[in-house]
Amino acid sequence: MTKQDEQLLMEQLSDPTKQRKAFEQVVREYGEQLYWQIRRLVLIHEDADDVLQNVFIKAWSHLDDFHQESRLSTWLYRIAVNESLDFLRKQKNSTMIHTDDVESGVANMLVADNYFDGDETQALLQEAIDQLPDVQRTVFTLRYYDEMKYSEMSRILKTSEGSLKASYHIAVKKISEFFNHRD
Amino acid sequence: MNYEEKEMQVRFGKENPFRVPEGYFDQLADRVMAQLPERDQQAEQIPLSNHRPKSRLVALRPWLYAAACTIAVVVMGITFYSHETAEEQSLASTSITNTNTNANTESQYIDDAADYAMLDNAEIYAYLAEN
Repeated sequence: MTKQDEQLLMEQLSDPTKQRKAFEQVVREYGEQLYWQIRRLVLIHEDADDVLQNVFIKAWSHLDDFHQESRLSTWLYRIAVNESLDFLRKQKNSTMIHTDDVESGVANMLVADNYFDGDETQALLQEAIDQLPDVQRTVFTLRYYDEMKYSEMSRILKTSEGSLKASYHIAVKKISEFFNHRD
Repeated sequence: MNYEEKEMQVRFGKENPFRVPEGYFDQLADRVMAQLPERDQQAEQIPLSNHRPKSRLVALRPWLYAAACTIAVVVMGITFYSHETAEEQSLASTSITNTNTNANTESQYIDDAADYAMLDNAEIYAYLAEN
């Protein structure tokens, strides 16, 4: 989407008679890329779908709070990352409370998932990513799969580029160590 | 790109291992739009976090707390006041007998003190005369 297209879309979003139609265009434009970012964090399709629906409902209800100080995509990514991490925190808490079987393993779960096509090594990579702290996990997935620029990441996460670079390198190191221990 | 990162790319590639159900992205926009409320009603309809409508008991909670505090203060006040009154009454009734027995009590006390100090009457008189 060009800057002019986005500007036009923003004007329509602030017009009550056109905003619903304009928002549908936003969903069509950004839905898929937001889904993949969410999916890389929450791993399961059904969870990613729930989180994505919440992201759009939240964006729709907070449309008046978006003051165009950042790009629309940056704002949507920020909501998506926050909603995904929030979902993971809640999931972690409920797992700790309700099950003793925490050691079942992310890799095993993914191998059994119909919507996961990777081999065992790729499932183990997801398990290694899953063990990273929130920020490292987010930075790693944005950089490794999306190849997102640190400047854009910095706007989404409201963190300095230097700190994000450090987080990425620590994440890479931890993932290497995870596999070194297994080899 | 450092050595670890290169090694990682060789080992895992960058291919997306996740899949979605058939036609998921084609239907996504329609599904999302079907869930969106009208903007003017959204303040009431959208549960932003996990806000559920408050039950009557929850809504009344601050008033219940205030009522409980008031009752506690009143009960404590009554208890304290009645205790004080009872004590005053018992003091009043005993004070009459006390005045009668005061003289006896004092002399008894001096006798006890003299016994304890092993003083006899002569020493006491001598002590009083000196002062």
